[in-house]
Amino acid sequence: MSPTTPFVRALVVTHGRPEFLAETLASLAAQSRPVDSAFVVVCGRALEDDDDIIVPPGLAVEIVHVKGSTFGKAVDGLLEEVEEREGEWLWLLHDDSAPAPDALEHLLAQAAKRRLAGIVGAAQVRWEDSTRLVNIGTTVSRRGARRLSLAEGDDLDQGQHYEMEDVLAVGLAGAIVTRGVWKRLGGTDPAYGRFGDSADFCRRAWRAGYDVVIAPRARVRHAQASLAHRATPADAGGDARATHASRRAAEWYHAIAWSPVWLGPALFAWCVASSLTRATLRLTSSDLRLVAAELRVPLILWARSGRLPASRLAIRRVSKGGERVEDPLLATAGDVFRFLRTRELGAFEAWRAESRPSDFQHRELASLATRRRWTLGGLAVFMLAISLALFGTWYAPLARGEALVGAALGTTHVSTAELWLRVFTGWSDAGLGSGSLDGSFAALMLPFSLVPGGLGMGIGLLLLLSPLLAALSAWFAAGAATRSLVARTLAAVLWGVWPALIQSVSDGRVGAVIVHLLLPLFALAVARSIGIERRDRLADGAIFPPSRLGSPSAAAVASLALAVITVASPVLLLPLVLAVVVVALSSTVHWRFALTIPLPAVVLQGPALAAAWHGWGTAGWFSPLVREDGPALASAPASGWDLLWGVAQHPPVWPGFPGAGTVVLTYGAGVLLVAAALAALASGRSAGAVASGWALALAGLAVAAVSERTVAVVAGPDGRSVANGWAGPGLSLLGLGLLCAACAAAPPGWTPGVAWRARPLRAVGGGLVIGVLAVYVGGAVWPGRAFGGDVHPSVPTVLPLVATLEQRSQPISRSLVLWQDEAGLVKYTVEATDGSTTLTGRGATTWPAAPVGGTGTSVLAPAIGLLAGVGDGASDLLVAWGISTVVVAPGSPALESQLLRSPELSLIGASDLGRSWRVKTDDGVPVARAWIQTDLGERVPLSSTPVGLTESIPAAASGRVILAVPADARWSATLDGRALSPTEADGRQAFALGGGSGGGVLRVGYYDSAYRAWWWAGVVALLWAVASSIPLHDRRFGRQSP
Amino acid sequence: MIGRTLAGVAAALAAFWLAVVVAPQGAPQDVPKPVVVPVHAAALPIACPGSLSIPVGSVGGGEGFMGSGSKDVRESTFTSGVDTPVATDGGWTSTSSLATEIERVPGGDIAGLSALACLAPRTETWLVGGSTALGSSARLVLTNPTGVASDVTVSLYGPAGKVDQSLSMAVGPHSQTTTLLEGVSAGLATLTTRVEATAAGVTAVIQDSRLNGFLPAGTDWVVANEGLGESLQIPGIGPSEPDGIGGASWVRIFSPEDATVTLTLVSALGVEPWPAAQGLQLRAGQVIDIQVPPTAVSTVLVDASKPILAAGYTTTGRAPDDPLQGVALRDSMWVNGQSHLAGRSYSVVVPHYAVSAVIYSPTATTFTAADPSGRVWVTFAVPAGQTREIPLGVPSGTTLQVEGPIAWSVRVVDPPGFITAIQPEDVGPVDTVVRVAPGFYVP
Repeated sequence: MSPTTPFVRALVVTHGRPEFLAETLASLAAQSRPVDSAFVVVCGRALEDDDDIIVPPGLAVEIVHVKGSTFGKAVDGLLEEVEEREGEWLWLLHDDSAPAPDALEHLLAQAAKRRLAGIVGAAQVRWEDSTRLVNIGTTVSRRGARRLSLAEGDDLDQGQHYEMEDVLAVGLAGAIVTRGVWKRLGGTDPAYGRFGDSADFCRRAWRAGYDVVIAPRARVRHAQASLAHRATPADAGGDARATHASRRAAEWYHAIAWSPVWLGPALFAWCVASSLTRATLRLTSSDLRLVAAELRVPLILWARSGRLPASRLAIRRVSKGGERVEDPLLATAGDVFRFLRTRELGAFEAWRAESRPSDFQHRELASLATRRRWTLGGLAVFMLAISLALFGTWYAPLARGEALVGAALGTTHVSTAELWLRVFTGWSDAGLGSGSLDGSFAALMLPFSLVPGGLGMGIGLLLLLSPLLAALSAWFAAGAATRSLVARTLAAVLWGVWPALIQSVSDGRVGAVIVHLLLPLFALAVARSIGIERRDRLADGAIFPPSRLGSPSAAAVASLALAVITVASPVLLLPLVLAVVVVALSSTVHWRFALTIPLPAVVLQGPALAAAWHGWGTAGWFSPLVREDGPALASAPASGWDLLWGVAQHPPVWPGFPGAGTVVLTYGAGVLLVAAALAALASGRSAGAVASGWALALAGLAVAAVSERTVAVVAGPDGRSVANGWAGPGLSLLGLGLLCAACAAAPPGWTPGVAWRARPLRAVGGGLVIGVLAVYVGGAVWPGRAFGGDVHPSVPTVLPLVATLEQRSQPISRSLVLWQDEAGLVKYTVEATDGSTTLTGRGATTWPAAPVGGTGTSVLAPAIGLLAGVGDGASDLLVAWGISTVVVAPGSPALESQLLRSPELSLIGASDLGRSWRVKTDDGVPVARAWIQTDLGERVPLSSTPVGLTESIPAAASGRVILAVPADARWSATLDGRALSPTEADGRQAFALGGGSGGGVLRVGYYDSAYRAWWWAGVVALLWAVASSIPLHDRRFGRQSP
Repeated sequence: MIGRTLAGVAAALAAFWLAVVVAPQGAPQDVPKPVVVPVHAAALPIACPGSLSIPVGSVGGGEGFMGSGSKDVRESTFTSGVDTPVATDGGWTSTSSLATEIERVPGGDIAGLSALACLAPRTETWLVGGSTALGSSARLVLTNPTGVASDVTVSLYGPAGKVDQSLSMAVGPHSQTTTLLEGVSAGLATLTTRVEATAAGVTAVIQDSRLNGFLPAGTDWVVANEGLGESLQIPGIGPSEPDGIGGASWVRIFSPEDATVTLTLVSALGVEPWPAAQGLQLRAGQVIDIQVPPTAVSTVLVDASKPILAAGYTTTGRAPDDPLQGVALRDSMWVNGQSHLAGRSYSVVVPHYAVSAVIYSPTATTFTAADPSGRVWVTFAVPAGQTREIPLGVPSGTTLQVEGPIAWSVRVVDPPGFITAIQPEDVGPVDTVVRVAPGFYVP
């Protein structure tokens, strides 16, 4: 603007980083075009002692202390004291921006060329490496808050930007600004704090009619000390994450301040949504610091929003006629997309390039992979054949639509809606209904119920294919311990035909089966998370991949697996958590990730832990921790000798070779495994892994012994008998530990060029192992061999259709099922649905649970006795508990004859599934599970669901609302919003309807607040783990561990 | 290496000891205890089969000695309660606990005196008696006095064991069904019938009618035989004079399993020799008749190695009107085997004919017959091991109750030559207990 020589006043604003400052001043002194005036502006109390500032000779510097804490305030503070000169250019420098010797020259040249320029910015380069660009101008997106740097991060400065001139904004560090512009714009906006003020300043400059240009040849070394929290140049790299929240909040503030007023709230909402999305994405890359930072952004924005009017006013003041001259320089959506793509792909490529194998290694790896795949395929086919040989008779019935049933399973034909109700409300409809400790087992069953064909098909496939699935999971897990294909195959086959697994499947113990399938995957995930998995050794001795990288997403997968394992078998919580903690503390890499592994499992077992805590010291206080929530069956405790060899229950005799053959069939697998693990111990290879495998095995043995000798199924409201725990999960853990030891010390696999004849001992040993395993597998799948369990496919309907129709049609009611055993004992159960199941988990009224026979359906015993003995007076009790039908199972003709004579029942049907009667009521009103009992003795049935009802009732006389469930404080009722007081009606839940209540909408519901709280905690923990397990690594920050 | 292995093994054994010895002993598996519910069962009405009938034709038809029917049939019913019987489809029912139905047909094919105790329906009935041989007719009468239909299965056993054909039928509520068993399986000289019924059951009786050419050879009712046991008594057999006009007696034995049976004849003088009845071998399902040696009114004791059923068949003769017709006209009676030595009280409703009680007790005891109000009608000292017959001079319609352990039956005689027997029945209140326990239903 002015033809006179420009007067350059350099202002170095320092926040107290003397080492950086010294270098900056040194480079200032070395300028080819010397500055005319230099000031060091010390902000606040940054540097107490001026002697700390090392001023190079040849530079006349004045040190001024000002009160402002931000850059803009510091400059303003200085300019108040210094007079303006004509053609004055302020050269704004941070203490960590050191200009190149020719920087000022290039800046002034650009300023001379562009007369209208009010701000000329320099190209900021890295402090350590001035060939790499940091900032060559920025722009912002049109509406959102994305700030784009015009230089790709860490780009090499090869002159590709030399033609760049007009930019929306430049970094003020190293830029020259005319004093007039500074005065006209009033300095930087204090609302931006330390970040983002440059963009706002430059944009206002554009609005005021000035140009903002960049001088690409002028280089300024910027250490970004504030941004990256570097105190000294020796702090390598710093950590940009520390200031992420402030920077993002500043970007959003900019967006809101520069948009029309009416867009403000929408942009704020967008900010909140965006921060949540970004927080989730940070979660998937397991970057917890940034998660917190992203979530803080809206809060910081909200805190600053009070200054928006002032910022807007400042913008309006300089805008000439409302023109938006800077619009062409704003970034379009296409620009944003290209920017992101380049950034992400660039980072991915850089990461991949680090670990790419050479061509020769690549070929060898490919051949290894081919052999591996063929072996895996063969193993899969073999194990599929074994599955079909063992359980193939189930396949055709399952395909026909039947489902597996058993004494432990009950019926497996449960709808997804029923499972969801059980999971969400915690209300168990077994027997006469009750609350429950937690709904985690039913939640575990939810994915199986989504399989086409329902839960019956899902569980059927799980049990049918369990040897195959177990073998596959063991294959992958063994791959972390050894790369030898022979060892992996043997381990997989052994795991797939593990005797406890076959016993669990034939008994229908779904929890034990799931544990057996998931334990190897859990071990694999833990090994991957701390990077101790075994790697391929190539012919030239190299190991691929070359560096051990722990994987945070593997830790998340491990936490998910642990959560599922502990849901299926809570007794494994303590030993596995201890194992994880020990492994984590013994690892030096990523131990923080490993320590997060137990969290979802502990949260999901929270209700049980809380119940155990509350019951501390009373009898059976630990029963919630060792409970078996799903299918369970009493079993005779095995002797310790049997447990040592992995035998939980002696299988029935082998028909082919009774005697010696049965002994081999019983103990073969266990002896093989223990011998292999002992050999591993003796060999001395991989001592650490072998020792930890043995420790795990001993823990598993202890768990098996403890669980067999404690009560795992306490008496519940459905009257089932008490049962002890099953040793299966503990024995699976034992097997896992021994396998881990055996595989870790397995001899390395096929080494090219070494024939097996050269190692006779190894060959003989391997042959022996394979021989014993073959005999064992042959015995296991011998045709006609019984397994000792009672799971069998059956038609999914359990009760006659008339009974289930009565149950389901409104008002809903229950069915009483009776049958008689050979001793003449009449047995009964109360069903609210078609058949009873254990797959939804157990209900419980209190934990530790009430004594045997004290609660639940035993209240009905007198009525059932009267029915079976053809006495009088049974129907009142049945109606009181909402039982509308009585079904006699087939095979009890004497009982049928008795009931045919009963005057209180009317026969409604006879079929293959039994005979059904309807309970006659004196007043002819249908039986319901919820009704209004007026004081006059009338019953008004209400339509309901198992967990509540909503119905409008007419203006009623006084009476009670009675629910046919045991009295429980978690039920509540309101009439037109007014709460009704709970009372009790012979042990049932009731609510008093005051006289003259005037009708209205009656709402009754079951709500367990403690259950709901644990439920949400569990959901959050699980979602966290699921999100973290997505393998997106944040590679941008380049944190690769050696 | 050895050290490591030993260390590992030692650690294993240590943990093993810890797990097995120190681990808490679990609670024993507890099955919920069954709840015992006492039930006072509702009483069922009793049912009587109604009149005798000729297998073909009608009682009131025919002329003279060729006619199969007879005029002047006298039929009476005596109940133990006060209510009037209600006719139901051929028979009749009553809510009393016991009744006696007695009928005298003077002539025709089914001439004779027949009486039976009317009982409540039951789900399983054994009828030891009757025959489907040539000239014999076994008419099975099933009466259902309740309001619920019952499905009935009838199985027959004969001299060769169980008969393959069996009958299935339904008896509706308040109705009666009649079947001629000779239509199901003819030629069974010795017959035992098993009637199984659902719901409340049925009252099953058989009318056993025999013909000797054109002459009646005896008609009587066969009623439910309760005495399944290894030690039975059949009081009221005889008199037996096979060679004279007097008639003969047989003991019918049925064994569900292979058994060895010994019979003992006890008359008024004590045990009489009966060598032919020692160690009889019966196959499962076999029914045999053994003729009783000549004796007066006696008791037969039955001892078996397995629980069996037994009944006694006695015939008596009278001179025909026309000597050209034949030697004698006969009447018969059936007496069921009992094991009254169990000691409950047994009742009978006395009809209006000349009635006597035949009593046997292995030990000396007193026979005391009282009615439900407590009035003692008859007292008699019974010597040990001898059969006694005493007249019961009580008004007709009296219910007599005798407490055991005494084996006795009521013998009705209407000279000349009409006899029948009435079994005392246990009609005490039935209080059952039902054991109830919760369970888990799996189809």
